[in-house]
Amino acid sequence: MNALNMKATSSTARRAACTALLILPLIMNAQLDRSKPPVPAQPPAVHVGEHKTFTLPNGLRVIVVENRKLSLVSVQVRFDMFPIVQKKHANAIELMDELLAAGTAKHSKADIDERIDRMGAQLATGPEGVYASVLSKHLSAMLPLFADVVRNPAFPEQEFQSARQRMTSEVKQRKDDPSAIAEAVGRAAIFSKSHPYGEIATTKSLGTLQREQAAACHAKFFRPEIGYLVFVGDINEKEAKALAKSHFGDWKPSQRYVVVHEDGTQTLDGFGEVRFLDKPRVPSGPRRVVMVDRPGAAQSIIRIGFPLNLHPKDNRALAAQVMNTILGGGVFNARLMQNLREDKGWTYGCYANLESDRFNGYFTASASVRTAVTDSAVAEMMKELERMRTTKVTTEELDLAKQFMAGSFGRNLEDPRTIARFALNTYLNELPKDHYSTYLKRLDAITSDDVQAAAEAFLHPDNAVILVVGDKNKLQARLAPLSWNQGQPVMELDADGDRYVETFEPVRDRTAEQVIERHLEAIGGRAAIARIKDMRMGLSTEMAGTPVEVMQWYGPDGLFRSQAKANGAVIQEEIFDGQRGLRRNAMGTVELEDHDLAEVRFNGHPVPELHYAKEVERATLSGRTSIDGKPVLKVHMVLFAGGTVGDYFDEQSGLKLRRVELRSRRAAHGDHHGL
Amino acid sequence: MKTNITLLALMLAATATAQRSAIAYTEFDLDNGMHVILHQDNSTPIVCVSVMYHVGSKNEDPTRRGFAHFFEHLLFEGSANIGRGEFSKHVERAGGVLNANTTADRTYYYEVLPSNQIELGLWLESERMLHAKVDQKGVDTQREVVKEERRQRYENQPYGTILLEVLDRAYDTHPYKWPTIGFMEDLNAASEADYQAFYKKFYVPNNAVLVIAGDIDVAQARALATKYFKEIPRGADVVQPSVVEAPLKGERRGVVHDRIQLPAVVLGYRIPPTGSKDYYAVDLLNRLLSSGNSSRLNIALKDQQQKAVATGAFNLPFEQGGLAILYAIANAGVDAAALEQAMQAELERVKRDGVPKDEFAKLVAQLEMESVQDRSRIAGIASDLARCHMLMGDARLVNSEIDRYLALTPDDLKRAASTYFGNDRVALHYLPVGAKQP
Amino acid sequence: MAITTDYSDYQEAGGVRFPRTITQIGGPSGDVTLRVTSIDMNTGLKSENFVTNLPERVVPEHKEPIEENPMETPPQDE
Repeated sequence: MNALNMKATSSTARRAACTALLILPLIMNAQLDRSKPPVPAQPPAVHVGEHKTFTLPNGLRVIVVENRKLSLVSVQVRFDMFPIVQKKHANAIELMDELLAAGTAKHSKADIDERIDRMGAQLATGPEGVYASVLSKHLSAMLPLFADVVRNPAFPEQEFQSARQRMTSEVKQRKDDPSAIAEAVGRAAIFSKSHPYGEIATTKSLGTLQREQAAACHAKFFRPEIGYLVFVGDINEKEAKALAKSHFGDWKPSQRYVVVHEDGTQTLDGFGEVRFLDKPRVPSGPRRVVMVDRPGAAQSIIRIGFPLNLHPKDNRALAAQVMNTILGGGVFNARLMQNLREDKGWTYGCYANLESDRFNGYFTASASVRTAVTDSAVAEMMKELERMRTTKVTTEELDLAKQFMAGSFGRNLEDPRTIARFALNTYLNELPKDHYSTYLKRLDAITSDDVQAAAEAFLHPDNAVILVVGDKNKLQARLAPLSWNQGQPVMELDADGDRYVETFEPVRDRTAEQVIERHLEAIGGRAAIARIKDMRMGLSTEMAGTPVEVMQWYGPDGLFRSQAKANGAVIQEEIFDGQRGLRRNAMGTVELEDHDLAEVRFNGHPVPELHYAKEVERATLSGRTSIDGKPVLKVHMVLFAGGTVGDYFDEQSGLKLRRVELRSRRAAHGDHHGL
Repeated sequence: MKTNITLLALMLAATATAQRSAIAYTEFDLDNGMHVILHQDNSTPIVCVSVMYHVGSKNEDPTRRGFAHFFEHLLFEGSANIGRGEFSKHVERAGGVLNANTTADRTYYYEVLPSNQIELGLWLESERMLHAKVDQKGVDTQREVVKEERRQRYENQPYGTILLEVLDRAYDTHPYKWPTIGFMEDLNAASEADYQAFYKKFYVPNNAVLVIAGDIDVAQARALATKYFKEIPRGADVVQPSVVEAPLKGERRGVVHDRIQLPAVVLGYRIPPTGSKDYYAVDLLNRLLSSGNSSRLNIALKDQQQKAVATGAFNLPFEQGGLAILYAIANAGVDAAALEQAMQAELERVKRDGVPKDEFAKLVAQLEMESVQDRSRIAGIASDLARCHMLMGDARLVNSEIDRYLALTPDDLKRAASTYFGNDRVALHYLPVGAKQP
Repeated sequence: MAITTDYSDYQEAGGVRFPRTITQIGGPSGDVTLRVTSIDMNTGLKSENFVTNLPERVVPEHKEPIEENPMETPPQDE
């Protein structure tokens, strides 16, 4: 027996002993039947441990969870903060966090770091508080330092400069970190950038930050009357009281006001304008696709999400969690995981996350999948969301989810900090006092009707934002049908969550016309091209596994005809007679209109670039960019017929490497085989 | 002031293990050669059942790189008595969690269950060892899943290929040359015969250790372990690879272009096998360099010179001799050469001036804290027991490994720095795609 | 709707270089790769080869103004 066993409650020890006596003889005699899983013994009782609480005269509430199993104490200060829209100062609160342990009136950053490491302790700061963990023998030495960091950060100018530089580097790093992009842009797409949960730090917003703003955040939010001080571990209430009093007892709330102006705007002294979140965002707008381009990416990161008005004290919150577990939360047997991984082999993991939150909840479903199956994966994920709403879950699924959640609840109690977390949540979220002690009972009572009701209330596939961080060229068109956003089926954003704008290195020594001319020279020159009076071109391809042969005829004066054959039969024909055009296929014959007509006029030449003058209203040289690492020049063209075309020419060879045509949705249904 | 700190630190060193009670356990062998370790702790009504097999990517055929890890995926597919997809269902509907992981040296499977379900864990693990079964759908699906795992973890992550690039240069002949995730063309080539042979060769009781930890009764757990595992036949003795890798002569320098914004410098050094005295010395050296905000690389590169946004130093703990990997990611505007110089300067400082006693004591304090924290989860204790038995040859090290650290002196660190952090190394510069080499 | 077409493998035919591999992504047929199998020039194609036989239009064509739809953003906070 080891010393730790002494800590076991006597009833646990007795139960273990009884079980052993009952079962031992069975083991000895029974023939092992491997065909069925063994029958479990009586489930163990799960006991949520106790916590003690008291309040200091200055309003600081102290929570103590005593657990002597390890000679370890964790200390946490947490403030009951309201999220604010920081606007152009996005990340002032995160800057405050960066600087909390970067020097106080008494200790320099180096001094704090040295002292913490010498105790082998851990100190972590966050935007809503400070956490530390230390061996109990060092607790009394650590606590003054901890309190000093919480109460008296000095925000030294030099540390501010280097913290801002570090944060700027991190923002830059995000540009090439698909997971970080998915996280930041995902929040922005779900909540909008003008929501506290959707704000994204950019090099620009970090550039405007002042150290005074970090100090103002601290003065406004780190105050005893909205604070909780939490002790967990090798400590009792009496010891905690003495420590709390001596290190936080004389902490007086500072004066820092938010001024409401006549026009309704509010300013925080030393910070500038702030806006508090007045009500949660709810799912709204049509289902839409948002992309951040990662040319040539090995995988796409998919994040489907929407905001939720779901408070932790909402009596449907637990059913919503059961629903989320069945859909994709935590269990391997969740529908998303089983469908996308175990059935299709499209991903290493697909998960759903439903967060209740006292200010604004949200839902996300995420997966990393290979590029080729990205649109199919999104479609399957949406299908699973829809299915949760429309059909009842099976008893087997419901039982598994409930059992798993009950098991997790019991497992989490292994860590005594769980009890403190329960206590803190109870205060912050104004939960009933017995919220956690009745958890297992409430969980057990949830029915498949409750689950479906929760799905209807909290899953909103019709209003979802579908974010894909992946290869835009390969995916944009395939994702478009999944969007219900008519005007802009796929909106492209950059890594900062802003509308994407293609950037170019300026090129001033040439014009668009010269670049096009250079292409004509590179392919043989105007004289050689002019010698082509007509042309017949054969092409081969494959569609849905069937070989397709295409023949194109380019006549004089832009006349064009094409014919596609599969298995010897003509499957489609297009003719342009110089004025009007038609398309004929299994669906019948239709006259080419609008963009389709413009397209055949534009492309129906052996070398369309020779005829740009007739079709192009305006051509401009956007500048230099790159394709697969090769420097290319982009010519941007607005067509008389509407729409735009971008041609990309290899700077070295002069040859055209890429064309990007932007057409309205209506016209996109047309088919064409022109070059 | 300084004197006070030194005194305090010396006191810490003296009392290092005072706050930590020993992990008690029972161990025995079944007739078929399987080792069993039982650890009782009734404070939370959960139990961890785990099996570690002494097989990892270093046991692979060089034309089947990644097979051990792929095989780990396949062993969740089922058994003679468990249909495809049922394995995890049994665990989850019992309120438990399950997972597995593979390294170069071993493969580890575990379930954490409510303690009344101990027998379920044993049934599942014994089924896995006795007669695992995989159908073609399982093989085809898991091969794709592993490919996605590789893309997610290595290819679609900035700096994600560091480990792959370092290993490939750090070894010439030893199987440690390839990463555990392996190569997809090798997995594509795997056939039915490969699965059969691998299972038969490595998934045998005499190549495994079973650990049952948590809310158990030792006598009952012992009986149950015997009940479920005794019928599994012993296999042939497993012979670990005996490739002797020649010392790395000289520096292997390379440039890797990655989709990153900030350059990084990565240094890789050969180190002795896990468990050896110098292994611990190098490990402590790594902590000196990068553990905690007041560690040397942090202070010098991040705080003082502001050349880096992140630094790190860690050991790859391979039983036949792994690597120490040091890295730093440059602050915006700092080039890789300047960053490497700054790292090198810190290495030279240890080699030249050694480690002051009070700074050494700081490392001891961190170790002590870690050793207590390691005991906070029953699942962590279980895997540590398995590791100590299988890779270090003695479960007792779960309690006494810290003594090997405490036996070291500041001079050992200085000597280890000179011995291992020399010019025979891998040196990589990670540069943004398109960036010119200076 | 964006259609991206990549041109590669330029080869000469009758004094003019044409791309022989055309990869189109986002087109109406999904993702396709077309390979040029033959090129014949000046075979004497006439306008008779391009007759549509479309009936005369009775109603004058109604031309809708076509322009890029303004991009819709996620809804902003009310």
